[in-house]
Amino acid sequence: MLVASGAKDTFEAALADLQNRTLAALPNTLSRLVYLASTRDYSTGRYFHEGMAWRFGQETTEAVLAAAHRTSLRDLVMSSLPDLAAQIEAYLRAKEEPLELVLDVWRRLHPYRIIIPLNTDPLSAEMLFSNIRLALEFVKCHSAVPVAGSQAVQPRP
Amino acid sequence: MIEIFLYTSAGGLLVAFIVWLVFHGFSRTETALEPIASTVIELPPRALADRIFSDTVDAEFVAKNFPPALLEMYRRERRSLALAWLKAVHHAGVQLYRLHVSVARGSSILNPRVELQVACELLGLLVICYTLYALVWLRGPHSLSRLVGRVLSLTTQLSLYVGPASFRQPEIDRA
Repeated sequence: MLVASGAKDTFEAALADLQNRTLAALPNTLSRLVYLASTRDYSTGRYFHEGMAWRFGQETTEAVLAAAHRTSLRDLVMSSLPDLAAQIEAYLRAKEEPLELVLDVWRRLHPYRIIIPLNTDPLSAEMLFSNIRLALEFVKCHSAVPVAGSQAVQPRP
Repeated sequence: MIEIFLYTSAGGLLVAFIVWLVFHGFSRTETALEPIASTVIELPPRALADRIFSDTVDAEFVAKNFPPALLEMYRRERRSLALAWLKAVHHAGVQLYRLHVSVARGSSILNPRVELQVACELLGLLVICYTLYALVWLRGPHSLSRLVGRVLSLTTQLSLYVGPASFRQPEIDRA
């Protein structure tokens, strides 16, 4: 019982540490989701964070990063379309590359497909991808940048 | 004369069997609620039902800000999501029923009333699902939240017969 309680305390402490030190500094849920996905090994699905592992141990670190990843996904899936569009626009504009280039890559290569946690249910994943597709079209449309390979939607006046 | 005797005997046996089922089957409900460890059924995310079938924020945003081509894309995407959600809930309902039937087959005590109720609930679920398929196909997923609510309550009802260990709520519903 004491061991379980201790493990829970360590988990809570590690989660608070992650939220306060790292996630709080990121501007929105999308950035947090991308960051958390980047701590995961794409081949094994395991999460790694050297600083956290040194303080809290690898097992706790993995559990905390996975939990935070799932929470961020849930928040983003439940975000309204206008909110998601604003987040995507802010995220893409923060890149050093020109917006039209980043938009084009996001629309054609769908890099957002790898930012979801491993065991996400297919409907939640499809809901997020659908909203991201719509938000990207909205951003493209409203930023009025010409994007290669798209004639169907003209920018609004 | 022999025919009358045969029919009366068959009728009597049938009545006796039904009476036996009714009076010996009342403990069936408890058995039906026991968890079944071997099968875990994935329920479709409830949280998404509101987003797909009755979300006004997205719809208003799209109507105000999207050009016609994007508006059509939005309708197509939402219709596709709604059909996928319905397919998942339909599948989960049938799976829950099959699981219940497989347990009932192995049980020595059956309550016909419970079995009839379960069958009626599945039938209700299927009828509403097919109605929703048609409505979503014809006019999109919006303003169907009442029927969707009924689908959700019937799925919950069916899940009660197989026990909580036999189905899993998606992560997104566990907030």
